[in-house]
Amino acid sequence: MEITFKDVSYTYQPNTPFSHQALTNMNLTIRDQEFVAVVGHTGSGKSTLLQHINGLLIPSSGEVQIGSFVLSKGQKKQDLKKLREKVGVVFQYPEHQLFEETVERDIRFAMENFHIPKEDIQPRIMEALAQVNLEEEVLAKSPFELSGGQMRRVAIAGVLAMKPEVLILDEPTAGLDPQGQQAIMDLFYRIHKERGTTTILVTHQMADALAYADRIIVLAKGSMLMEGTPEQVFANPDLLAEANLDMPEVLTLLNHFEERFGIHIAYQRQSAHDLAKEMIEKLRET
Amino acid sequence: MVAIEFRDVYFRYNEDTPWVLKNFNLKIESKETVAILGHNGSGKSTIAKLANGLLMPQAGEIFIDDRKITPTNVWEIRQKIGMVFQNPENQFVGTTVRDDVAFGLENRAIAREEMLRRIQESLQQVGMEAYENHEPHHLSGGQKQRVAIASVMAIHPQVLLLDEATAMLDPRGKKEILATVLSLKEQLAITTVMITHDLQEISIADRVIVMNKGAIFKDTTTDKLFNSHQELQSIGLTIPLSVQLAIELEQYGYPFSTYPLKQEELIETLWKSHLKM
Repeated sequence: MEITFKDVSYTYQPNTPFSHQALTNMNLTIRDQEFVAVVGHTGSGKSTLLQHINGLLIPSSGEVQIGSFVLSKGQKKQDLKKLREKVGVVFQYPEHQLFEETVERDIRFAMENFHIPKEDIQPRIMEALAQVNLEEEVLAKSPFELSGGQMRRVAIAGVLAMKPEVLILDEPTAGLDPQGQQAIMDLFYRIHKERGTTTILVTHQMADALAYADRIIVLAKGSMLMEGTPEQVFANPDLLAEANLDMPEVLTLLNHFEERFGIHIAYQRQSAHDLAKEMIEKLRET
Repeated sequence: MVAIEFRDVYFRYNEDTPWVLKNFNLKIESKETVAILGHNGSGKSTIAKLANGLLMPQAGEIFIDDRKITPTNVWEIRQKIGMVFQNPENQFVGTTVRDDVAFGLENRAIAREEMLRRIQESLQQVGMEAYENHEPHHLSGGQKQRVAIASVMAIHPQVLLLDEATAMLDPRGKKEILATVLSLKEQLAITTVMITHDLQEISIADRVIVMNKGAIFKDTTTDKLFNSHQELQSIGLTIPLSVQLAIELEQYGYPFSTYPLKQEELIETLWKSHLKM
């Protein structure tokens, strides 16, 4: 689904002393099946932006279009449930939202709420479980008996079982160990490719933005500071520093290398093995 | 002096679940800075909870500052070992930063004059003195954790124990906490234990203990840790990029006496070898 923000501004608690403008004149198009990373320092407006995509927030001014849904202030109330069926959100620490007695009932909950036909529910549970790499045995367990990493997978399975066309991921790997982080990101990337979901990843990990995104959007103080392919965005270290963001480790390393040896190596998602090989080849040429 | 000692400790959460720690032995000397590393479920957080008497072992003994933890002296022990946990949101009780630091002191019936002095002192130690009257929930994640550290430091503990204290912070917050811990180490030479799975954090430790399946897998100095990189990878630990590259570069005849945790070190070592070739 294509998503368009047209001159969107959002103010929390307007006309009160606590009034705070979190988004200012945001213009943005996310193409169907695109993988977009949204980065920005805490307080830059990332979460506010996300919450417009599934109708949790309605713009104070301007308009958000998601597929055929149009969200704008003063528009007559529409069925947001239909929108939310198509837009799956994995919130931060989604395991905090588990509440049912068994894993199965937790995964089932959203589907029942959205009136998915009864005969479809069981196959969808099994499919989602396989996608997040959990064994069938966990279905009968209480989610609270599971490890943190497993609980997160259960919460994600609940979102995937809805078969959303848009996946919104709000720091989905926060708090996991490095192996767990890698596994979760690989999982989302696979689903993005296999299902052709439009995927929006909010992250503090520049390495993930670099590795997975087609395009990166940099927010600062509620506005778009920069946007472009990872190559374009990370070619602007000064602007990133202004937004209080770091460069991905691999790029700073290649920059150090270039400063020392005067040799440029373009990063094209090479492994450490291939990078080392390229470094040596170029060193031997000099 | 020994700050923390685990002697033949056994612990499990339930009688029908496997041992989390089995015949576990560990000694941390006073003034050491130790990182305890391991993936989720390796037993590292259990160590923290046993060390301050939140959990009691089924068998074995635990000593803090040479005193054995028993159900009767656990309050006294907690004075010696200050803990900072993962979630900054869960550690606040006061309505201002100052009240929050005061809370632990009031509980210990510290006299008012002394209390005011200690609040000042500990907020200065973490660089948060300008926020004394701020409301905790308006602070950034890194600032909240610094206040949590100040609350602990105000008790004058012998040991500061951070249990994944940076896991929920953004990159800037993580840097703030590392800088704070480093400065406490330099100012006060306090025994510091950092439980973590973040490889950046081990750079400020002198000693690294790697946990796997409830046992010590490696106990070594920070600069020697990655000499056993293959074993570390075999238990699912991620190797930092600079170390990965150094390992690869060695194959081409560029030697590394220690594997570099910092990129600058990697490039400098490579540069020196290159000049000799």
